[in-house]
Amino acid sequence: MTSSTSSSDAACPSASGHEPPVGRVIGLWLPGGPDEGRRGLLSDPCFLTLLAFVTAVVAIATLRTDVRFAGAPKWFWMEKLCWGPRHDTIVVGDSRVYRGIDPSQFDSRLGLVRSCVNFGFSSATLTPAFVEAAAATLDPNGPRIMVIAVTPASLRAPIRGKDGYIAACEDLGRLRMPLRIARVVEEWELHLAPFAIDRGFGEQVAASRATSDEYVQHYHADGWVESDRHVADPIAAGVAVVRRDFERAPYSPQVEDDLIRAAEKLVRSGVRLVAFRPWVPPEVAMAEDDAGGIDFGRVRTRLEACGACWIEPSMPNLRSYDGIHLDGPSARAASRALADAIARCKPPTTNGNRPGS
Amino acid sequence: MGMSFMSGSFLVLMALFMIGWGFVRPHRRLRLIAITATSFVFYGWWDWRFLPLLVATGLVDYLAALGMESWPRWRKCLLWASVVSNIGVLVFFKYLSFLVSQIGEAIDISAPVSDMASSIILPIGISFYTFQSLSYTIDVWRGRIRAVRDPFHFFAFLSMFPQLVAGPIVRATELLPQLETPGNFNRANRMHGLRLASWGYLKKAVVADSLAPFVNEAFSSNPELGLAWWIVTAAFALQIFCDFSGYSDIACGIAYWMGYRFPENFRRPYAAIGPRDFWSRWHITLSSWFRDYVYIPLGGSRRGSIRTSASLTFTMLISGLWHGANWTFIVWGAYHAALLQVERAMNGGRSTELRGVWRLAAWAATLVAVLAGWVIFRAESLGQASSVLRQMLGASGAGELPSMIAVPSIALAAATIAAACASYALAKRIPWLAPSSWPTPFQCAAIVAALLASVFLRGPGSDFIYFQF
Repeated sequence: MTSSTSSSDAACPSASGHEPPVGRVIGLWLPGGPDEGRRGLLSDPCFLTLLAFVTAVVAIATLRTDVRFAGAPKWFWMEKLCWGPRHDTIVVGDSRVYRGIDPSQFDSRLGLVRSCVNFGFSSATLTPAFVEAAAATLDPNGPRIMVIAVTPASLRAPIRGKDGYIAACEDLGRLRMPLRIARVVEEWELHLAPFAIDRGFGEQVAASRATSDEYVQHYHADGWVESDRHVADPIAAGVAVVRRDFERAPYSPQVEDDLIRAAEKLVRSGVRLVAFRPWVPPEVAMAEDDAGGIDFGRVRTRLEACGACWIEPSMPNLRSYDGIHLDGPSARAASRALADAIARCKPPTTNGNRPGS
Repeated sequence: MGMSFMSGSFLVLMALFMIGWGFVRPHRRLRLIAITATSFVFYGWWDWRFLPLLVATGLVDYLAALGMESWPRWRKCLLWASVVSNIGVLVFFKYLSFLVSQIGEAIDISAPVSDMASSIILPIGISFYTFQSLSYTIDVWRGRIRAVRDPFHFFAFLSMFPQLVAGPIVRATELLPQLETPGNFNRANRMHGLRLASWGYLKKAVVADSLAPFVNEAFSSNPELGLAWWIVTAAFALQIFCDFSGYSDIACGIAYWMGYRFPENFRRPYAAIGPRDFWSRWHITLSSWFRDYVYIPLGGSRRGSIRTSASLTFTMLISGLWHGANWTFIVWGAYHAALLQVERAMNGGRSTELRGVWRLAAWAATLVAVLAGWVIFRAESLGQASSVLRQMLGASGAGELPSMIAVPSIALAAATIAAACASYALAKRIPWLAPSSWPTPFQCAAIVAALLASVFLRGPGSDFIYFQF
């Protein structure tokens, strides 16, 4: 139990009297007494032990199946800000977008060449800065389709520290290393995290589906976070979250006005704007209308007046795991329905008449 | 974020140092510069503002020692200059806030003064390196060692990174001559160093860090646990042992790897038979420092029983105060002084060899006394210590263990300790069970397993406990 330093350990502090050969990298670890000779690095047990340790750490960290972010990884959101102007279509909104829209379902349905991405951020407010940052990722030579998910929560005044878009901008500003390296560091920190033995190894290894109230999340390169979570009563949980959130931060008419102005500007610059209200269970939608007090008919009319296309896709049977967000299969189904609706949508003219009609 | 042994930045620094060490080791100047530079990077990584203090206090002692040899008439003055500067720095950074708060309770102290005192940041490892530096000037003054002329030689000794922030406290007489040589950089030493370091990491990461949340929760929420406080106290006893001896093992392991040797800091302290035996096994480098530089100069045991008792009490009080500016540490020192006095009274100051059931009883009594002492040491206040000790004696409280008790973590920690104890006990009877006698591939596999456990089974605890001292 203690650090034994008996004489049998051959640890004489004095010099051996035999100066080692140095200068050869291959011989770096093997100088010493005459008994050691001049064998190569690969015959040194210390070196081999450390090599075996590093190899085992890398293997375990790479192969372990229980890795998951307890919170959201910072690099994921910062990367969204660094995408650059190379996309055909972008879906913009809050957590209902980043959890509930799978952009890969859009590509074949809309006949896209340069892909669709998900520009959703946690608790993001649809401010002009946010919408313009999303528009900046559209390829100027592409069809330039922007799909805005208008939720009651996204029309509240932005909350510093809660708005994921603002937080990502601040994180990016503070970053002292290239984002690519920051991502590697953050991912490896997670992979090197200790096994949570309190939850049992079996549970972690077999955790392919949510069995606890922790999120099971898969981060896709196109910005979608495929997620699931065990919530005992999703509807009640969703209603409670909606009521609590609107008590903390009410609807802001100013945000709605700013959004309309930003939409006008985008349409004028040639962006094809599509807007919709993401699906939530009817009970939660009613609670939102009740607590938020937002007239979505007015929002739709104002957006259409400035040239956006408002769509109401017919959604298949969907599952919301917490009353607000869709699980993976439902997100795919909802995305397909949304893409079909976008494909059918003809944008109105700025005076409310559809072009070509 | 500082550069503790558990941090990624330290592993990077260590890897770079290991690569470079083979090249610089044979060249005296290069070797000393490499050790000093690496140590300064290691220390400055915590907070670069601490570095000038380390250099300044070191320079005072370096120059004082040179002065003692150049101007023998001023030897005593220079020694006092060194002692006053070291103790002064220690008092200012470590005890001023405590002193001001204590005086402030008696008399009214202006707010700016108390604010200034409470805003002083304690430089990490200050208690360790000031003692190490003091031992150098005192030994030069006593004529036990010559003053070193090369400043890199001195600073390599003072700041040698494996032991800079939490010991072991290595005397100048032990380390300075070693640093003159390129060390014994052979395969056996490197293997032994790796074995020690991996064992240290296992103790710290798996055992101490797994127990830390349980102990911290118990002492911060201060529940009425009744007799269950014995479990919390035993957990803390294991935690502090594995934490501190783990650090010492890593430090000694790195030194071994470099070809040098640090003194032993722990020798199975919980197997002690009697308080005196405990102090010859626990934090050995500190207790021997106090013995040689405080207790013996005060007269030791040679000037009658009253003087001996006074010297012993004073030494233990100072030893307690060394651990921190808090009444709990002072009382802890006084408690151990009392235990030592009782032991002296019982055996008349002579070592007696106990056998059989008496030996077992003495061991059990020592363990109980040490555990009670740990309550005083760990408690947030004397009031809490008193309350916990009353509950441990069954005088009050009968609650349940904290709900956050992480059974698998504690079971893992207990299993590690049990396996270590069993292997130690068996190795005494069956020599080939001792890890050092295993075939090399088995040793390598054990090291890899210990290091892997330190990475993937580590507990949520954080810094080494002794960093705060």
